[in-house]
Formats: sequence, C-alpha cells, structure tokens
Amino acid sequence: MSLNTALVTMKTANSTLNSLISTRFHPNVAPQGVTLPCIVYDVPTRVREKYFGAPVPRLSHAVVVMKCYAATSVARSALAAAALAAFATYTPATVGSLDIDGIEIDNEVDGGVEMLDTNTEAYLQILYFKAHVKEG
Amino acid sequence: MIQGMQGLLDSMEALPYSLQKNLIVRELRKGGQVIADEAARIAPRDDNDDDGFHMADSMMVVVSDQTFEGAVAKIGPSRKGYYGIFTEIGTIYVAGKHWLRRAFDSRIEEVTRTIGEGLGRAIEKEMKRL
Repeated sequence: MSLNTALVTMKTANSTLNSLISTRFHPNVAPQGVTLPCIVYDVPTRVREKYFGAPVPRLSHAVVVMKCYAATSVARSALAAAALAAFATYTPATVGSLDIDGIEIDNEVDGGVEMLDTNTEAYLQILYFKAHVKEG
Repeated sequence: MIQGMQGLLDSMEALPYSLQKNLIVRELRKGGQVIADEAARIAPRDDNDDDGFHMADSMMVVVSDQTFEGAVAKIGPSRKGYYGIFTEIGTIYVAGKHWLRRAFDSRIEEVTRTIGEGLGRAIEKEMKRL
C-alpha cells in the first residue's frame, strides 16, 4: 500500500474531516469545477533512514503537503484544524502493509486566495506534515 | 545529525559573544548555500524567457535574527523571482513541483554536517588565537 492510499484511509476514518470534504481529497491536483471545501495533497519527498546492510531501508519519513481550500477564511481555518486533528498523531497505526509510526505537523502557511474556474474564491491554508513510515 | 553538538556549543562559550555570532552566521550561510545551489539546479527554468532573467539563477541565502545562540537562514529566489512560489506549491489545478522542499530534504544532512564541521574548525582556530 502506498502512503497516498494510507492517507485516504486515515481521512475516511476521521468523521469530522470526512463529513467536511467527503471524497474531495485529491492527490496532486483537483478536478476542474471542484466543489469546496476540498484538500489537495502531495507527497513530494520521502527520505529513507539509511543504514549499512539495507539496500532498501524500511524506515522513512515523508513530507506530506496538504492544501486546504474553502469558500471563506473561517471555513478554511476550520478545515485546516480538522485536517490537523485527523492526521497529526503519535499513535502508531497499521494501514494496509504500512506502519505509520507517527505524523507530526512541520509547518503551516497561509496560502492566500485563489480564483477558481467556477469564478469563485478559494481560501487556502497549507499544512506540511512529516510522516514516519515503516514498510511491512 | 551532528555528533558532539553539545560539546561544540559548550566550547563556543569560551569565545567572545560577537565572535560566536559571527561564526554562527558564517557557517550558517555556507550551509544554506548548499541548499540554495541544489534549489538552483532543480528549479524550473524557462530558456525562452525574453528578459534573460531566470528565477533559478537568483537563489539567495539571507541570515537574520543572529544571536550568540543561533540564527535564521532564509533560502529562496530574489524578489524578482517571486513567482517561484507558484511552481513550488502549485495551485488548485496545477501540481506543485516542490523544488525548494526537495532541495532542503535532499541536502539537509550534508548541511548539518558542513555546519558542525565548520564550527568545529573555526572554534579550534579561534581558541588557538585567544
């Protein structure tokens, strides 16, 4: 199982976040005409914990970027808070073949406002997480 | 991770404050340059640009908030390359390329080692002078 799939599973398991965005949890980009609120997420880097004798080390930490889009500034803050509560945890969990040893918030950035193709404003808050992962 | 970092910091206390600040700034700038160089290498570059300016060529390291305990290094393109933010994080319909994040994550180990070794050498040199 990829980390992306594990993130979707974690999102679905959190009732607060799932009720806010339902299936609008998109990898890389959102589809045209997207409904708000939604989250667009990326896993840009995954650094493996190298040690001698392990050509493919099992332990790694991945950076997960979550772009939280909502129709108002208040809704954006609520969405970011829900995402933070859903993902930032040190409770180890096994999702598929991945052991998630913990996910911590690394950084939080106000992303301003974007204009969508539907001619509506989307307020953006960006969350940077660091996920500590052990492959099965 | 830097081995013996606490010992390094303890030995720095024997130096005058102004010298401690200068050493930290100098080594942090050197370390930051490693990330800036990698960012310049992997940042998007439009070779058909008319004005001849390339955001990738304008990477800077600015060190601020320096005290004898630490400082902050800000790394990124110059003001003229402000649009780098759009390729870094993308938009709702355009995927981010995360070139600055990738530069940071791929070089941070080398940077911490460079700073640790550089500080060690500088402290030794200054101690001999005192």
